[in-house]
Amino acid sequence: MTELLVKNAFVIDPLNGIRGEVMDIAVRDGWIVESVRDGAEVIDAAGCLTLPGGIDSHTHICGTKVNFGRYMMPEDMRAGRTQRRGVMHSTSGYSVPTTYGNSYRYCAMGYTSVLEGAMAPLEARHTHEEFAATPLQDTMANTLFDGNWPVMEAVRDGDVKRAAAIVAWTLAAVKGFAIKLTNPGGSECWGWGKNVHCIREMVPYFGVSPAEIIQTLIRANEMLRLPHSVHLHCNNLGVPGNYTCTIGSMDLAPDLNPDRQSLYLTHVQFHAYGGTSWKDICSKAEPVAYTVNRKPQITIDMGQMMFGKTTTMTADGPMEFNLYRLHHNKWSNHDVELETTSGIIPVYYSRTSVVNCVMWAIGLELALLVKNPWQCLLATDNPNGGPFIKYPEIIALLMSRRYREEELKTLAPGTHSRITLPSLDRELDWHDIAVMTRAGQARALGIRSIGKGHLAPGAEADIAIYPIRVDKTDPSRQYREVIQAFQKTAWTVKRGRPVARDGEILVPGVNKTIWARAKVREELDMGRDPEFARNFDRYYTVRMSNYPVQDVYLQRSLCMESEAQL
Amino acid sequence: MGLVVASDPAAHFPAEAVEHLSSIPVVQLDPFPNLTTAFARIQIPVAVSGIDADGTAYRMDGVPLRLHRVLDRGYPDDAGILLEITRRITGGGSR
Repeated sequence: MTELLVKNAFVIDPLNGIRGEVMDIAVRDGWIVESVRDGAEVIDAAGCLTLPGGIDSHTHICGTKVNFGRYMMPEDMRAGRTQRRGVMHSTSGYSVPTTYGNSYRYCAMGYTSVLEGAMAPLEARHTHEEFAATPLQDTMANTLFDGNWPVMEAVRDGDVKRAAAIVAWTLAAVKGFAIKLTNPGGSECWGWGKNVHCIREMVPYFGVSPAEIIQTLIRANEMLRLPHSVHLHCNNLGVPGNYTCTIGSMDLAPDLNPDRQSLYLTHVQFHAYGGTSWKDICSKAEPVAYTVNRKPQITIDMGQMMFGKTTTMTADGPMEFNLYRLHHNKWSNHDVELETTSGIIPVYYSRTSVVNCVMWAIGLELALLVKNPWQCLLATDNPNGGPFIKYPEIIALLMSRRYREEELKTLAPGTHSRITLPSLDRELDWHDIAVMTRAGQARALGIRSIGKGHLAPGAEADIAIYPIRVDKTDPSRQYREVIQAFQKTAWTVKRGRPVARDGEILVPGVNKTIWARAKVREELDMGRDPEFARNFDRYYTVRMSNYPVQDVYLQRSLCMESEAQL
Repeated sequence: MGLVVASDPAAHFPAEAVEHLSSIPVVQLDPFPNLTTAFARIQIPVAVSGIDADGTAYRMDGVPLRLHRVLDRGYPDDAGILLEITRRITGGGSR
């Protein structure tokens, strides 16, 4: 039995309605309990801000395309090198670091759980091998179904149950966590050199529209009673005027689940552009945010863009080709058989580019205009909008109008008439930030029930203690202190063990992967379905029996089971 | 000292790098002799994944495939050798 007592913690724990109280947190064997015996190890938080461990609900850190980003960018690999020290492996890389680099940097910022935003099922082993080398966070994988042939056939036939059964079989086979739709239908079109530009266009051969794919899978998701909702990267990413498509996609979502959203829209900054071309691009964060405000069934994440170098990587192959045609730098493109695509290019977001300045403003506008912080979570679509090490700056920008004004002065001339940010007075408070960086993610991902994102007895003891006193800091003025505090915890506790102190990693750690299995009736088990098996062996280059990811790939495994209602 | 694991730098590195490698002690872990073996001080024969050991092979298009061992010829795998070297150097293990 190991016990730990965190004393004098200034706790903000939104899921339990704690808005800032000095209290002690008792931990036994990795879980938060009512009390521990005298003699337990003690951490004195000295009144500092103490939050549940951070959760990133959309990041790209593990898997085939992330690793291809590492191959493509030796210049990125040469940045951010650290030598082997203590229990820490050597690391390298800035926007696409080595897995240990990601893990240590997240840990130093108090993050204890992360969701990989896009895993191609066929390449799932790669993601799981990299998860195993991401030792200080629990991991989950969004699983791509945007161009899945059997799913599109079920959608065409109007057979929601079959679509759900295919999802259930695939998630269990590849140990995935949730349904991800990246430019639904677009990845299949890309195989024909085409794309869909909004939700009503048709996918060749299959004769289905993105809207039908989205609507069918939202219903399938709720029939399977999966922890998370459908996780959508809308069609037409990064194109001026695309906000109408984003709002149209939001309008597709019924309100089916009382505990969380029914549709999660990711990196919405990239989907809230007005104008007709790069020449007249402008912010449409207002109508997008107002749509979110009217729809409790929607949760979004910001997809904030931050200035500087980074790498863009997504399963949205055609979009990356369009980016390549803008930048004419390196480009990679990848086809994943009957599932999806991907693409990668490096970018530099510059303050001298009006387009980039408008993008920067839109992310912040979304977070300030969405009234309920539970509906707009903090993320950069790491590394697409910028590497996650920029989160502390984003927190400070949201908490300080003065900081925003300083930054607004540095933007390219001509930006101000295209954005609304200068007129927004709102300054988020510590509670809002706690919601947008952990509690909201736990609710949105449906992992509160396994003890994530809160600090009441029964929760998993993932705790972040930041070296800042809420009672002595005015974030509006002291935004530099806020940035510093969120860059490096005083302590990060993972599964009841102190794993980082002042940014130094203390233990090697062992990763745990959380995945979802929905139990379906035998006659809907795709493992026994002759048509599914026939098409599998006909079209895939691997046999169906070789497809599932073996248990050996997961170090610690937590399967969230549900009884499907099909 | 150079430690070469599952690769053949003598065949693929620039000539100057290969000349330098050949002037320092090199230990090679590889199931088979190759050009690098010509100047390696030691070559440790290791298991072939999919024959002597379980493992993962990454197809050229990035698709990872699970491999199972089919023979038991007693060769250790790369990780086993590296862990044993680390254990002996650190005198019992920092982990």
